[in-house]
Amino acid sequence: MDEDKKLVERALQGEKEAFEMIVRKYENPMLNYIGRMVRVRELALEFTQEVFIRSYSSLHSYQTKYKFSSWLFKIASNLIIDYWRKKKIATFSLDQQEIWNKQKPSLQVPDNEPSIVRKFEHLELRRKIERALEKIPASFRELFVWRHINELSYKEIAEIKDLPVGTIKNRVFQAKEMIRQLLEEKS
Amino acid sequence: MRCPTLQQIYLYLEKELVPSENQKIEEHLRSCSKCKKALEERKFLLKAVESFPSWQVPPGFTQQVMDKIFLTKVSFWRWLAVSAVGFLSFILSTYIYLEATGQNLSSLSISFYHTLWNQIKSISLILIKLFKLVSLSLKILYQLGQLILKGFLQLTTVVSPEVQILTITILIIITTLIYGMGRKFLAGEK
Repeated sequence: MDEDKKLVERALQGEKEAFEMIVRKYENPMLNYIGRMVRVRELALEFTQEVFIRSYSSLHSYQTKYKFSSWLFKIASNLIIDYWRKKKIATFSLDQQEIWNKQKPSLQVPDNEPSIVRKFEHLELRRKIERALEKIPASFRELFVWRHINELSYKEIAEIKDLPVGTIKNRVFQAKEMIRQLLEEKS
Repeated sequence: MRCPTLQQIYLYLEKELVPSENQKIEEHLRSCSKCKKALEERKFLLKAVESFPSWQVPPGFTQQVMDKIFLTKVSFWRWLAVSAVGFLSFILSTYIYLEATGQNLSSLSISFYHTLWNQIKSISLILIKLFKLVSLSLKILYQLGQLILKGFLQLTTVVSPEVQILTITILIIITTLIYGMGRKFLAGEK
């Protein structure tokens, strides 16, 4: 049994310190994910706290066949979607995705592809990517953040989203190329 | 080998391909400058993402979360304990009182209800008096308002319209000045 599952078991037996260790382990990764989704630090901190409160109250329903981190990120993802629904923010809307689908990134290596990324100095590029990340649809941004910022495996992301690994790989690829396209438009 | 797809190039960079696919791409890259350029471009992009600054929780965040979780859990038991202690002390003090005064429980409860009834009666009387006082004040205020209105109407029949306008303007100016001075005074106090 992995370390997380042991901690969950101990927390379920009433050991407060075990859950505290879980919080310490996941508070920063969770804030990095939520922060990049909602973009406001105070709100991100509030949501991060809420994720741990919710996870503690439903800890008994956690199934050990899944990775604990996947379960935790799923709670966070649902929390964000609920918040956007309540606020009527159409960040997950299909319309937005349709705009992108029209200009779906090409799968093949294009001839005479301009070199965009290398034009910028490292720090400037980082800033530009951060800004581009804010502009892509939230459903793609979420997958990109999990893969490249939280460094989750494609399998873990597939587990969180209940989707096949192939679909996730394809969407993360699209997210990266969307970002590249945005850099191309700006340069 | 044909040129790999862009998705394969990313997966190659992320070390997500099986060794045989990896080898094929490596071989292809040696001879295809177009794919090599595309790979370098994406490698640079991923490198920049890797160095994104990390968001950090403020100090004391963990404790804050733990307090929030366990405060709600514990509060029920705390509430139960406080209630139990309160109830027991009530029983104990009643018992001590009965022992000290030599009264029995039934006579004590009768005198308790008697006192309680008297208190309710006196509070009700105060409330009725208060209600009468408020309604009387409202009546007086209403009559005073009517009197002022009547006086003003009679004044308009005696005084010419020009003087009326002048009076109203002077009144507005005086009110504004008083208001402004009042605000300044209050701000100065702060």
